[in-house]
Amino acid sequence: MKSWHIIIACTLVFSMSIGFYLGNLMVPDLPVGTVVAGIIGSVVGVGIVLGTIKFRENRKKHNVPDVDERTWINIKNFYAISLYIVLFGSMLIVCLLFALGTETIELGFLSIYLLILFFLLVIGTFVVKRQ
Amino acid sequence: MDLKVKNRIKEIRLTKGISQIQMAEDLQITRQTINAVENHKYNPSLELALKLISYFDVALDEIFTLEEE
Repeated sequence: MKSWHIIIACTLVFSMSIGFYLGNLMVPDLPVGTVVAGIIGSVVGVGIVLGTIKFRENRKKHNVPDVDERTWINIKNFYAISLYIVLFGSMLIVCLLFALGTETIELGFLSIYLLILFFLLVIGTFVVKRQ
Repeated sequence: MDLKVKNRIKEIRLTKGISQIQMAEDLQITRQTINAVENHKYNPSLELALKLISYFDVALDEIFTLEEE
């Protein structure tokens, strides 16, 4: 077993333990079905990503790397620009909500907003990587 | 005065009969990077420039030149 396999396994177990602990702390009477669905969803998600990586590696005809110095520069530039867009965009949204008379933001909305940001950053990284 | 780095990589590569894929495999860079360098859209790092010199076995000024825009 390679060292990074152990690191991934430890990270998974550690993250799941924290997730269980926090979940139990926030919602003590969490239905078993929801927990099982969450675990299955996560496992399937990781499986799809790993499967896609393996499939792409097997299909590769030439020994050409996916990432090189130019790709890293592109990714760094993308994150630098994204940082400003996210900062100013978030500030704009807060100002807009304040102007519209909103006084509080629910944690649920915040988590959806962060999830969308994360999703967009991941998609953007893949797009930039291919250029 | 605006100076720009120009290169003759495409010309030298075609003279030696090397394909972009072959070059990408040998230098462990992506084909897109070769394309960008050949079209003067990206200046390679010093490390890659030295690798290119060694790969084509030519002098530095035979590949890279500084030209006025």
